[in-house]
Amino acid sequence: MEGLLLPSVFTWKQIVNYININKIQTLPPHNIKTGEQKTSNYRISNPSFCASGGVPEGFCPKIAHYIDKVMRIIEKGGFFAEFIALDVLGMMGPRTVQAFLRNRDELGHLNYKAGTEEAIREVFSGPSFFIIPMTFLALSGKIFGSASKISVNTLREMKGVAKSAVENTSDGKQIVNEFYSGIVKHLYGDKLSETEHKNMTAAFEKLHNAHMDPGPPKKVGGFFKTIAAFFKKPPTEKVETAHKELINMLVAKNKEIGDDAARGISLADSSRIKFFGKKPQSIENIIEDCKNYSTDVLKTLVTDTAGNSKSKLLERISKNKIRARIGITTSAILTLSAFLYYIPYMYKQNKEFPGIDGLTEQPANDNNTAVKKRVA
Amino acid sequence: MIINAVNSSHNIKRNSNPKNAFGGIKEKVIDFCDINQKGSISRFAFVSVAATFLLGARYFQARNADEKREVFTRDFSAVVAAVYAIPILRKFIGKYINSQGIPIAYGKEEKSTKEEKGLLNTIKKYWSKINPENGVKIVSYDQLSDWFSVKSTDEFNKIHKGFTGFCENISKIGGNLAKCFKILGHSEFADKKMDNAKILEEINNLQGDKLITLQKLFVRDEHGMNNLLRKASHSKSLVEAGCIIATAALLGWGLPGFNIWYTRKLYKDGDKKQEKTPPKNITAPVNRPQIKTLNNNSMTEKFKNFQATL
Repeated sequence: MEGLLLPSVFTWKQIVNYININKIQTLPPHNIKTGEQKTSNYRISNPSFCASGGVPEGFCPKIAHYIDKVMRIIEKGGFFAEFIALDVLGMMGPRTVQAFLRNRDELGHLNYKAGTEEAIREVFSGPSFFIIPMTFLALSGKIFGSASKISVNTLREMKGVAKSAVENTSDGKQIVNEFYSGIVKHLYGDKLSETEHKNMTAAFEKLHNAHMDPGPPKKVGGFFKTIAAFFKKPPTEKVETAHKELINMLVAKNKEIGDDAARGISLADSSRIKFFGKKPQSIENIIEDCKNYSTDVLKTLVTDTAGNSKSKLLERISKNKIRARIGITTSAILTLSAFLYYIPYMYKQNKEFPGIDGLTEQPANDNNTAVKKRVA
Repeated sequence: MIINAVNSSHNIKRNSNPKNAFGGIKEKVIDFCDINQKGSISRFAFVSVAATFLLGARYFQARNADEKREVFTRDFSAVVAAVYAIPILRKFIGKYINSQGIPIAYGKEEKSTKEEKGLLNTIKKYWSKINPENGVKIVSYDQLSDWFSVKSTDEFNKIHKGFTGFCENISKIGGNLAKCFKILGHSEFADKKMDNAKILEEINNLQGDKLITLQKLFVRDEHGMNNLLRKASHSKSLVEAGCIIATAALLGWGLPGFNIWYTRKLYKDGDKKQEKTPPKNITAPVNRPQIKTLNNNSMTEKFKNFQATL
């Protein structure tokens, strides 16, 4: 597995520990592979990280076993593990190496110009595709509130549910409960008994309350944990417990229902259900959207003491969130496009294309200092 | 070039009633620019932005024809391969392995019910068959564990239709139940050459110890595996590893290597004309006006002649 040589700076144990920290989405895994693979995004009941078994007898089974172990580490490692394995070691690294070795025989030394250009090009082109949107999303959360992280169509639909919740309650404090009751009804409808409906709504509300009052922060120790905590705070014990409980409940209900095409429930992938869209979404995404909405929009509604009409306030907030969302996403794509457009200016340090250095005579007029000196 | 930044599980709900033409365009722009929770953009947005701004900029800002050619052969191919070719390859390998009896991929094929004629519709029909976002996708290890194993036999009670439902699920996703049971050590179904429907019927009628014996076959061992799960997991790992190696070989070594080789060939064979302008020779005569002799005593003339020499 040539492509998976790891830098000698880090030991396997450190990497494995780092991967284990990120089990509960401290870093967002998103890529073309995991988007396709991770049809089951919950990781609580089946820790398949250690599940590749004891080492078997025989050469081929042994090879298969070790490949299995490595691939599980990559999948469990989430985004960074896949980025390193696929993009850095599989693409950026080989291309840069080849650029440095380009025309080495003719030049008599490494082609530093071509190598540097290639390195700059790859380092800026590749990661920008995810760093820029991620940065915009994070900024959007900080500036416009967590509800602006939800997609526009979902925001519109959630507004409908929130509107019903506001109209059905006289006491502002019950808005969150009514909202989640509406969400649960939308997800499962008549598939739930009254008790199950109440329990599920209570579980959602418990998670909402845990996010509103997270409790003492988790202590992080170790090099990788501290770095991960810099990017995103690890969830507190209270939030983690409530999150697990809710996911377990939803997945168990899906398994109990089995197959229901109308609701997007299938035993083949019990971690998905239709939310507000044509295709089933993963339960983790749904919970994340709901949490983002309730801890932002509903919190404002509940804590508003100015005596405004809650319906009007909801209308105003929803408009602002949708506008913010549209602004953020279009700005992200435009910024990404502009950045990509200017990357060639960054790596074109040499006037001539260095790929043909060594194949032709060196240009004598890369700069005109010699000529200038003569004239002076 | 990042292969990781595309979210293929985008859930876009089309606005079916745009108020007017602008509303329709606005909705399309909103869908195009959508970013999912993990910060990734849709496949279509990725290809559009990459082709226009990443590759287009590189191509038009290239310094010479060699660089232009290399951008086209190396980078355009890389984007298309990363976004479409490799996922399509993965899809068809997943389909093939599914057909062998132990499924590792799952997904519903969205088929259009209308039978429309015309070139565009034919293209759409064939594209929907190979589109990596439509149809089967290789699932995660957690999902394989869910499909082919349980922690204990009690878990069957929590599944719709119990053990029969569990086996029915394997059948629905494309599994060959006789083969699966044989791998787990129960070869009776395979010996009798029973098909899935008959096996499910027999399982449905099982009770007591016989049922528990079959159920226990699926329970995970101390390593978190059973033979069936191990086989499926190894299939998936080999496919994934193969795809990583193919990606690295093609995009990391193959395409760039081809470019380097081809450019060298062009110059070595002498077919390539020197496109560079000859280096400026400072000793070559510049285009100077005729220098007059300095016999004229007029200082103005002398000064003019001196100016002409500059």
